[in-house]
Amino acid sequence: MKETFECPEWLKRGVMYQIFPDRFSRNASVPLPKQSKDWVFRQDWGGEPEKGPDETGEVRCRDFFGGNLKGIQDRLPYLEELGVTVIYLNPIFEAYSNHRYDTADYEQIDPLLGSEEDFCSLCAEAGKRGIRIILDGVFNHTGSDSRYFNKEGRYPDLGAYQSKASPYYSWYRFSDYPREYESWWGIKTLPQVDENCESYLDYMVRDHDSIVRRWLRLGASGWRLDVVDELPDQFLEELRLAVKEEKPDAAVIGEVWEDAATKVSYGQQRHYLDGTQLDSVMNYPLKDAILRYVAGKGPYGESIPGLGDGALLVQTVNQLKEHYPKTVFNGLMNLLGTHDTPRIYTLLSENGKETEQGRQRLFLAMLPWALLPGIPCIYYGDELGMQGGRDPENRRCFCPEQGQREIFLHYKKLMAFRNRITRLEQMELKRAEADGGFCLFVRESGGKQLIFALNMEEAPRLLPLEGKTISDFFISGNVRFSGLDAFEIGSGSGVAAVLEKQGGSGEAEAEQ
Amino acid sequence: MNEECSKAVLKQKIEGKLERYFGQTAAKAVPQQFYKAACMVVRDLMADRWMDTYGDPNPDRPKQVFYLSMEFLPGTSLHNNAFNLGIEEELRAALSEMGSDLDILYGIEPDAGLGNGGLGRLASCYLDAMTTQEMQAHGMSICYEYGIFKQKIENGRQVELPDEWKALGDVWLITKEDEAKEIHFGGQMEEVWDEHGHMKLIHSGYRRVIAVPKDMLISGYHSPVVNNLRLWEATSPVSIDMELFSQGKYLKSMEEKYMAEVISKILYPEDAHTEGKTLRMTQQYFFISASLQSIVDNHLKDFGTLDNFSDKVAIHINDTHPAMAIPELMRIFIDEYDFQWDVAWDIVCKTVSYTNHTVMPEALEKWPENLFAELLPRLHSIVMEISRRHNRNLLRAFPEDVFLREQMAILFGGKLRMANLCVAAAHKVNGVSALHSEIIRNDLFSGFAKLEPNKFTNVTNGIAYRRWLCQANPELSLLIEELCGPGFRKDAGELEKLLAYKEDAAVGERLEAIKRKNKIRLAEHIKNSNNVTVNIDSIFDVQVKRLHEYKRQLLNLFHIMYLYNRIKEDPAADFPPRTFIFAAKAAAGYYMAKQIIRLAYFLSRMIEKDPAVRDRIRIVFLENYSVSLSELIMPAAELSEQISLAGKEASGTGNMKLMINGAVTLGTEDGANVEIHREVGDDNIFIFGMSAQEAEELARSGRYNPWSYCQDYPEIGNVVRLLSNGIDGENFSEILNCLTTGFNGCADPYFVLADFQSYRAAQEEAGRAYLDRTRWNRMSLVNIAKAGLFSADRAVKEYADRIWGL
Repeated sequence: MKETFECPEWLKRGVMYQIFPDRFSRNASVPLPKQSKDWVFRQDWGGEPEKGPDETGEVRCRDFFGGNLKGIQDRLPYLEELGVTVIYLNPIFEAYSNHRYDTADYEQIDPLLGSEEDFCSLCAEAGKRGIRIILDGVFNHTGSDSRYFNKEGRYPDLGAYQSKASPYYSWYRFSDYPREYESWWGIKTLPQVDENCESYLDYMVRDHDSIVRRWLRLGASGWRLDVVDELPDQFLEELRLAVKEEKPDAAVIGEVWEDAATKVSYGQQRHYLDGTQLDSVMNYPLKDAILRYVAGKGPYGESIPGLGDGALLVQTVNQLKEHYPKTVFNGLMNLLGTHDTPRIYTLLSENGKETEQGRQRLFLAMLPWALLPGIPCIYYGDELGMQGGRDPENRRCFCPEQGQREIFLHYKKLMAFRNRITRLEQMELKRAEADGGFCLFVRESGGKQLIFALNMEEAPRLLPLEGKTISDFFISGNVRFSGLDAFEIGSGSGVAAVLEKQGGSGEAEAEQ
Repeated sequence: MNEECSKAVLKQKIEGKLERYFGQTAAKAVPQQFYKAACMVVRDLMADRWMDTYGDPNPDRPKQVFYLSMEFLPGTSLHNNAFNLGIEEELRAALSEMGSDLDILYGIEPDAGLGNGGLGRLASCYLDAMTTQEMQAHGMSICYEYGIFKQKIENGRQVELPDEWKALGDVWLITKEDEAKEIHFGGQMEEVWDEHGHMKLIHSGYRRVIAVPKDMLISGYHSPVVNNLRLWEATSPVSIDMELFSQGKYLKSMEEKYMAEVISKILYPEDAHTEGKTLRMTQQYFFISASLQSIVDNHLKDFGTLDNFSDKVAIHINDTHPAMAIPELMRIFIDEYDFQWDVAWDIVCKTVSYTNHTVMPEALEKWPENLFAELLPRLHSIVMEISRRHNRNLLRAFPEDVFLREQMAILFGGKLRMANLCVAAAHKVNGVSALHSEIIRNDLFSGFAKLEPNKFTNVTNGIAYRRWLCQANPELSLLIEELCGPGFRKDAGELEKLLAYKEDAAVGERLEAIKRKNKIRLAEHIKNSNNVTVNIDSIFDVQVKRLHEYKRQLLNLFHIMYLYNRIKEDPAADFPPRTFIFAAKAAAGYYMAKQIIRLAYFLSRMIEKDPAVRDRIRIVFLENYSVSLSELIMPAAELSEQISLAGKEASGTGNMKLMINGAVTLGTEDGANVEIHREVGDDNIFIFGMSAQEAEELARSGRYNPWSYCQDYPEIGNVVRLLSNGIDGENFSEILNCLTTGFNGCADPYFVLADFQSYRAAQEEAGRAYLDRTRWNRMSLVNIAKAGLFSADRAVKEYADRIWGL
């Protein structure tokens, strides 16, 4: 473990917001580009994304609603008001499909999203509002319809598919040239690259204008690494060095679906978190634990045991705290949903049928998500109670006028409450305990405490505050004062409170 | 006018009534009998005048107004009618000669409490004003057997008792059996084709209810015109099912009769919340159908045709409760008179106008569509057609804006939205104060305002000022007459002449003396009803209105607790003594309102027990607030609390009644307070608190954090602590939590804590001003002088000019 390993400070406070660029916001002044690929422009913003295979029997993801970078810039005031400090953008480089995980050219912004100037402008404007931008680094595979592979021959370069003389031939692994090659989950449009290949490393990481470096220089503040399990150690280590060289406080966040400290991939124990590779990871395990506690559901909405089982939730939190280095634990990307999961509101509201139950469960789930150490990440639209099951339903267009006002207000209030807590990032998680369906978490620093309690029992539970001064609090559901020195927490409800010892910060009160 | 009303003639008539109706001589008659006899005599005088105008059909009759309202609050009528007819003195003399006393008779009459509060009283004020202006205008409503409940406070809890007004009150009602109407409920519609290929809809399988009109005549001030308030009483065509009776099923044999009678049995006591119940819907249709049938029949008697209906009839809908008038009128035209849809719709639109009284979403009526269809199948099919055409217009006007179209739809989500129905049909829609009308134009009905901007207008509310000034405060009236002449009794604008005496300290002192006399009178009532002796020299600080969170009686009580804390902390603190007078009824099902009454009660008790406090601040909660009680309170009031959260009170009318009696307003820039402020100027009013816009912004931002106020301001924190420790040994955790925790953390929805500091400062200033008698008397005078704008005469003239086209 590197001695000097410190996760960037800005991952320990603030709020992250994940944007799926095609569906968030479209600035209509950007003209539609002429493109030689076959694609469909959807004029009906808010309409249902195409699902399932097309007429050729293939799933092509080629319907675009036209969200663009200028559109994101237009919405910066909205994000700022929400309290967002970091935007995580799903892929923005030129690609064939609407999710853009099949990169065609790492050096170009996708023409439908805008230009490089648009990107720089977005980063600059966001920076003025105190918002950083991190990009999605898809380094395990490229698109087959790309400069590098060029299966469709649309690009002027000599692609690996076209000739073994291609400069990119060594990137890919063909078993039967050119038709059979290693690809992501066998999907032919996503040929996998060999990250140990020297020319690949040069192009992506080492060169002065490598992909990883140049975009940081143009304004990005870090990379989220797609499918980190597929990236070998050497690649990760060199990537990290390059990133930190360009921008010492840039962040490298990995997509790992399980406990990142105990992860084994391809028979090898990974050491993502020893300070040589990642700064932080996407905290999927926490999401799963919260979902199970609050609704008794698994990641795809299936019923599983564990509803209201506080011990299980607390166990997950304590395990992460034990396994992860403290600096990583304090900078985890805490999420309730992403582009790869059904939307949290859909999961909690029985697909939209139980609105009130869905709302209250969501409000309860938001407490540990927002207040445990790390940075909470809002998947675009979740703050409005957007619905959607699996991909592509969870990638519908962002339509704030149709949002659920009550949910939006609750997000705003919680973010404001969180923001009011000074030096939150210094408050260590000291206790995570459970008693049946009741969970208690305590963060502490100096004489100040942030405690939050969740109650999934049928009966109300009392949370005594032992004579401390309540300088601020936040309620989800049915919580009342019992006298002025205890909270009575109703079923399915939770409360967070900032406590100071009597006579603490602020005006000293005369002893009665 | 005068021949039939001399003292001698009146005496003779009363004796006649006593003899014929009670078999009594004047010498032996008891007050109740005198009361009834006197009322009958007055009623007869009015009936004569009524016959003059309405007795015979008149093909040249000018346009009439029919003011439809689910509520009317006439209060007492003997005094008002005698006053209006100008026979009060003769009547008083005649009675005294017979050994009776007019003032005692005034005291016997119960309030006709056919309404909850402001809305109902406004309707009655307007009838008085329209009749004074000699308009041909009538009210129509339900003859509730039991009006607004009688309120008793027992150990802090509001107890609701039935209001037995009819025993003595029904002397004013003239039953017109021959004008009864039949109302149909339930059943189903059948399409039947006749031999000419025309389709008729036949309604079958329905329940029949008979509506019998009971007319209450309405007098105007020195006006030859007498109008009518037609109150419908429900009865069954079948008294008793003899077959069931003979089978021994006694209760069931009466069932149909009782089911019919229950319709007009009792007034729903909710006023800021809709009663989504079938009975309420039944009540509405009952009175609408009867009223419209009556209007159409009488129109035909005068004119023999319906073609000129919209030229001769204006139907005004007071809030959405009478909204069914729109489809019902369509039904009558189409089904009974074979009108084509478009012609009928055109007439209905030109005839109907609507006043909106609230922006609070929980008060906007939305009927479940299936309930509506089951109870009123024909009306439902008409509403569906209205809605279909409306949606077509919306699609044409706003093709891109799905959200706006949904907001403006009449039928949506299985609900029938009555406000949208009213706005879609009425040719004119008005709010009741300048601020409120702006809000409904920009916010509540913004889509409609875009569609038809000229439809929206404002008519600021007005009061029947003669009742609250001339009748309730005769000494003040005499003073005004002495200084400005008698003209103000007919034209409230003449009150402005008082301004000439603004700097005249002697006049100020006389005002003060009159106020003091009125305070003594009120103090006597307080002694009798609450057994408390109040300090006449304390400020009479008055908040009298319905109990509701948006009116913020809680803010007032919060401030009183602050004063309590202050006195306990610093007994030497100097501020003028105050008597806080509250009167308010809480809707029966409104839990938090009842908690607030409880708080007032126990706070009052705690203070009474504490000699250090009770001479400096005192709370008096007067039971059973009514029109009559307000006539006692307003003349005695000095500080008028109008402290609703800005943007919530559409207008207010209590504010006007207090103003004209010389009370100084302490209030927010809400409703008609804004216009009162404009009239009296910054020097003669105490304004505090957030503006409507600021309040809206704060609510929208979701950033309101009441707890931070408790932390940052020890005065507030100390009151919260006082609340949590209990008042007089009683627990008030609901109120405490309402202010601090709320549900999902939405605490203090009406910003009591946020406005507290500003309110406190205004109260302090008011206290200081009160000590400067010259200044205070001047303020009082200016308020009286500028109250003329708020007369119902002015309001009704605006309706007549701008809306009804009289």
